[in-house]
Amino acid sequence: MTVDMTQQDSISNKRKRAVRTAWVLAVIAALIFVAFILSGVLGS
Amino acid sequence: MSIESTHSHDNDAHPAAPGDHHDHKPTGFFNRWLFTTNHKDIGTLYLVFALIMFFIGGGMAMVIRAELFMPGLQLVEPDFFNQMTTMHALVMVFGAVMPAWVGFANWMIPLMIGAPDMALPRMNNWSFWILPFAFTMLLSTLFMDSGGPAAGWTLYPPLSLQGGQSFAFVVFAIHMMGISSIMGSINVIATILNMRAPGMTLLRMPLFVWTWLITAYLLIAVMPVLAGAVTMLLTDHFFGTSFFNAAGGGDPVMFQHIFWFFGHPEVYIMILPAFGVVSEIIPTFARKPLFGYAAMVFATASIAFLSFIVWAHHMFTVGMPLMGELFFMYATMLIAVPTGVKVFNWVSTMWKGSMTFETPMLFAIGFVVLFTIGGLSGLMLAIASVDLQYHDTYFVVAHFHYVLVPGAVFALMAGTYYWLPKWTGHMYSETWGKIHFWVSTISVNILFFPQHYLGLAGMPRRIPDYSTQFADFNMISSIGGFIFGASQLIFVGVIVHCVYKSRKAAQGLVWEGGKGLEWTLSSPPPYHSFNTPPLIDPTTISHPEEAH
Amino acid sequence: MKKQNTFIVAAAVTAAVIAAFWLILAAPGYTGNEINMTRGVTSQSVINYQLHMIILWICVIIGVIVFSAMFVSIVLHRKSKGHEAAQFTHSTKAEIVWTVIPVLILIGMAIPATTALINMEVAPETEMTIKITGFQWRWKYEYIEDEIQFISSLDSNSNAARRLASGTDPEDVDHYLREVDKPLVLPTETKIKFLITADDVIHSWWVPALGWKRDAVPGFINEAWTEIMEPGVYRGQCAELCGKDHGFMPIVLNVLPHKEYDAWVNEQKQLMAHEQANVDRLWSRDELMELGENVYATQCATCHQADGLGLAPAFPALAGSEVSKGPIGVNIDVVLHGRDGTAMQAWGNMLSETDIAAALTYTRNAFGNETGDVIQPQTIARIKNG
Ligand code: HEM
Ligand SMILES: [Cu+2]
Ligand SMILES: [Cu+2]
Repeated sequence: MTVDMTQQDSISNKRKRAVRTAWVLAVIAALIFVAFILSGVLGS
Repeated sequence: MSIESTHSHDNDAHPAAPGDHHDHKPTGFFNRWLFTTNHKDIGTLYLVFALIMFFIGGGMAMVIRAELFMPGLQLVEPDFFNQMTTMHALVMVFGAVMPAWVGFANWMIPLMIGAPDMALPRMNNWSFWILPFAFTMLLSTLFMDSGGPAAGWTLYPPLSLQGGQSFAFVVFAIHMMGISSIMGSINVIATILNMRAPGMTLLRMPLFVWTWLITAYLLIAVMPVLAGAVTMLLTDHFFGTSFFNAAGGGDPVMFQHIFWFFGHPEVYIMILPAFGVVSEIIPTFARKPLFGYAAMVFATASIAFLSFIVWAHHMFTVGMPLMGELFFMYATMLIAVPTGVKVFNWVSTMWKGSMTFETPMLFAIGFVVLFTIGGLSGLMLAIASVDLQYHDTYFVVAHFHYVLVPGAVFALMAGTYYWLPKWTGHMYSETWGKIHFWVSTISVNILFFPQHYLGLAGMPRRIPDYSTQFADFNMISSIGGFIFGASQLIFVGVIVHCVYKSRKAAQGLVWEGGKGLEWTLSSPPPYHSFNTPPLIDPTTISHPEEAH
Repeated sequence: MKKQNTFIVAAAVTAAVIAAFWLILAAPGYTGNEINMTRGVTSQSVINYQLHMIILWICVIIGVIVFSAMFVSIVLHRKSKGHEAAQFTHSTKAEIVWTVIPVLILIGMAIPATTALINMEVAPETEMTIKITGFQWRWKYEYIEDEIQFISSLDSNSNAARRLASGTDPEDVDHYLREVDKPLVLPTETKIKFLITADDVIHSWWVPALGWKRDAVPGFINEAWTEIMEPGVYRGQCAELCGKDHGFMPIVLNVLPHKEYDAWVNEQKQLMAHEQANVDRLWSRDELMELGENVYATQCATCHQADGLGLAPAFPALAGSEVSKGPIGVNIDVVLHGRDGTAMQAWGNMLSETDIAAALTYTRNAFGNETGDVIQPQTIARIKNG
């Protein structure tokens, strides 16, 4: 059975990485919004 | 593995005495609920909010069914009727079903993966508290001069642009709901990817966690698309752009493409967590591991992928090129394959089990049967040529209500009965739960089944009045609707009784066949779920290892 | 023991009710409300009907198999019967089977579905063309070759009966909500092309007997075709939500054999000549008021209401209105060209000059407006033609 990396982590380390994940996702969401507005602007 | 061993694990992992969990709970009503960052409290807020919205949206449905009880207009003007159909859908989709699932995610994901809380607790508070404001704003349009939105939840222009000033409030409310959903999903993904207990590998996660992980990705991908679409409506309406105005060089059909690029994944956002819940419940009450865990995960992922390339099956009548119609027809038919795999796997999980039929199991079985009926009518709708007959009729209304009401909503009820003892520490009334199930199941079929006939016989959707040839089945459907609506009061009764009155304490392991980390905690669980990560051993997870 | 039995009975009753519902679909003797798709009167509708039945039966069979397996399991594999849970977790063989078989079934369905769609979309050489335009909330039909055109609206009996609490029982109205003042007249056994568009919002033109519906999108023209095999009257209605009276814009086809159709075309042409004579002559105030009352009731009252008081906020009152009592030129301009962004449409494209003159005369003198103005069809014709 594999033991994954999270074993050694403290909760606060986990939270730090979680914040990074969150920023990446937020940026992706914003980009999708902008992309669709742009497609509307360019399309019309 | 025997039941006893799970029990003893319960005690090992949590020597904490019951009552311990009161320790760090904030005091005072406002501190506790308004400023809460606790995943359980926020989960409760979401669930209560969703239940209230369920009744507001349900009230609108009662107005609709009352007006359609017989031919002729008896109760409301057509324009108000259109506001009711539009608001009913918006409230049910964005106010009831989606927040209810976020409530489940908040409550259960940390418990299921062995985390102390969600990864981003303060953002969690925000995601919830935006919603009451969004819906106050949305519902307030009903009392404005120009009335609520009346162009259908699909908001097709140019019709939606004929709405008055109140349209701006609708768009803003949708933006707020979108932001709430996106923040909620970010939190879910961040939690699942980073907060799992050691040893809780991805392929050991319960299916509910898997389906929510995939749902959260869908949400992040499509809520911004909806936001873009309504923003363009807003500028078309108030700032003179012409994205969707043919006279200004725009294209009204473009809106439909954008809307359904959001809209089709949206329907899976509402149903994937339901798949997850049902995949938890059936193994518990069959006392047998979920059949084909890996296939279930893979099927969920393929459904999610396919949901991005089928959107135009909502638009077969708008006049697309033949090649486009063929592509969307084939892609849509293909979704039936992973969906079928799910249904077959649930049946195989029951097969040769040792089943008992407590209320959660009843709702789960009801779900499998009635959702499948909705899936089969979906397959019929996928046939583009025949859809030129079905489209925009009551046949479509019957289809999506089968997948959403005895589908998504039954799964929500199943999940509520399943985890309510865990959440509250009390048992609910099994007798009343079963009464609720049977009355709901019979009435929901009286309500929606005849709508197949109405659609096939030629009754379009979204009309306040109809010719006399449709009278019989509308009356039957309305009667079913009233019974179904009334029977949901039983649901509220059972919940209120369980929370405030029930004397029967729930054990940590509520259900004899329950597997998974949530059952290793006391009922109710301590305020901070797993302050020290639990040890994962195969007997505490809901399915055995796939790789031996 | 008792509990089990109640459960089995309850589940069986539910299953039986659902199965009965499905099976009624196929029962030929049923005489109540129609419950299945019509076979219709075109090759497209018949193909769609057959395809619908094939796929319906495939779905029923799949449903019966899956639900039976489940039901057997529910009856046999229960703890109360002492059944011990097996612990198998997967079976690669079974999983391959129930992936491959559905794929094969789908391919089997896709083949007829593809040919049906091609037949639907690829129009043959057509012999005549009808242009259909959707308005809020009526249809306009133009016979391109014969240069006939007219508006088709909900007939006045239905229109009166459909008011909120009108006191009229819909059962007493012939073809309640499915009758129009002027049906679309078409010949049998003729390949007809339709050009479908809309003036304001999206509508959808649907007569189930033809086997399809097609959206009418403002600014775009959709094509569709038909060839109707049997004479008769066929009814349908708008299928895309288009505002408050979406439920009240029916479509009626009167399909005639060739000879009768030709006679009808000739009659229409004579009527058109007559109409021209109407525009050329001078009308008396009483004549205009009488006709105007009629036009108002069928065309204008939907929004501005029979008493001229309108429906705030979307539909303004005409009684005492600044336009109806103000300068004639402005009033004519609003009626001929409509108001952008509102439900007020350009009636110049829809009604005859005589009807517009009559409606204007009526609204400027009824509801206490009493301007005393008389507007002649000639005046309207002159303004319209620049
Ligand atoms: C086998 C799976 C499914 C297939 C093949 C399928 C197919 C379709 C098709 C072709 C339509 C468009 C019909 C029309 O407007 O003419 C449709 C409508 C719809 N479906 Fe499904 N569907 C499936 C499952 C689901 C699920 C799981 C949900 C939600 C939980 C869902 C919710 C809806 C909704 C809400 C609409 C109508 C949207 C509207 O027009 O307002 N469907 N479906
Ligand atoms: Cu879809
Ligand atoms: Cu319409």
